[in-house]
Amino acid sequence: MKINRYEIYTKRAVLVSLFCNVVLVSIKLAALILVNSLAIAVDLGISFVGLTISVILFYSIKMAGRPADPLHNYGYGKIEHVCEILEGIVLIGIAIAMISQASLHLLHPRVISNPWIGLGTCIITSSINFGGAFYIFKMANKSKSPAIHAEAIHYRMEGYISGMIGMSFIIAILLNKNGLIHISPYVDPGSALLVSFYVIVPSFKLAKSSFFNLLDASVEEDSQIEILKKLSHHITKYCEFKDLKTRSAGIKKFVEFSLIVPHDISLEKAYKISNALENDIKKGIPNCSVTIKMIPCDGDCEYVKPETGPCPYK
Amino acid sequence: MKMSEKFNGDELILKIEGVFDESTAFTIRDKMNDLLEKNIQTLYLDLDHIGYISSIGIGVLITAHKNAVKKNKRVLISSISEKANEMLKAVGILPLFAGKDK
Repeated sequence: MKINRYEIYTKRAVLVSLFCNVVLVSIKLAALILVNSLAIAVDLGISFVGLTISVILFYSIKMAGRPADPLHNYGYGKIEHVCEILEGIVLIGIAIAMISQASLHLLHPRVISNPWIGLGTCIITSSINFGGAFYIFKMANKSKSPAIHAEAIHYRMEGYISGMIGMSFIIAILLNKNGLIHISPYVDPGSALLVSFYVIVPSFKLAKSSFFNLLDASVEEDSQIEILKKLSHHITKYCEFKDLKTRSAGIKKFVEFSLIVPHDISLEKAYKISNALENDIKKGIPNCSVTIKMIPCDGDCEYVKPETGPCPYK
Repeated sequence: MKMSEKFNGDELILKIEGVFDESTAFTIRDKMNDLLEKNIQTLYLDLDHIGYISSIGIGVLITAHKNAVKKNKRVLISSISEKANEMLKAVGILPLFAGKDK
């Protein structure tokens, strides 16, 4: 089976994500045992989801790259959107669970054991997250994979979350040093609450956009513009275009439209026109499948009258 | 979105204000189709007050151009905002609508 370079980029991203998530979960698990912090528990939960999603993503990307078969005529690209939805829904679930937990802890605050270890953990994990996000974003841009892009957003979000939790440890340490020990137990659940709210909005957006992609949403604006560029580049070769439809399935994009050509040109000429247009669109939009239906003009134009002059598209 | 028209012999100027995207493109398309049915030779588009033009808006302009050619008429842009100009230039359709200043 031929593997294209876009699949190589997605596989690289998934492997980096998988490796980083294993490291993150191990570090956060150790820190949770030592620090007894609710905020770190939230962070660990999010990383655990990340790890699970990375494993699913690993198999999904493999599946998405499978060629179309008699049972799945358009391939398996949509599995990537299923992955995105899954990621969004699970993150929302964790955030809601943690909001209720943090609210309980605000009513019954607990002192965290080793804030310095917590702070050190947050610095290390947020560095891993931002480094991972940088690389995964790079691969997402190269592969144009929505699932990898979602993974990069997740990584960056985790980086901010760890950063926010790190700040809460700094605040707790400062409060302890200044004799405000009675306030510091509220910082941890407060931070967990903030982080949970912070997670909900992008997770909801992620799940929503993936859901619409599953419902055959059109390709993104850049690709739409690219199609119009190619149509305008060949504008003198055809009478009209109509019924332009696009959809995406993972990294794959599907474009179809009808091309109206003069009714009395040869089939060979008409084929050359549509073939040139198809190849041009494919060059501009990677992993794109183009279907052009050629329709002969119905003669309902001014050029059927001899006084108008010859048809400009012949 | 606001549209207003001004006749000048066999020419007509259609002034469009606002955004030219999926929320307005089909109203503008229908309007242009109606105007091209009238006894005019050239339809000038005043896009000076267009804030944003999306791919759907560009698609409507290309269709209008094709529709005009079919009727042996012309659709030209008399004036255009900087933002819309950049967009049409990027797609490469600006020369299709280039004519004398109006």
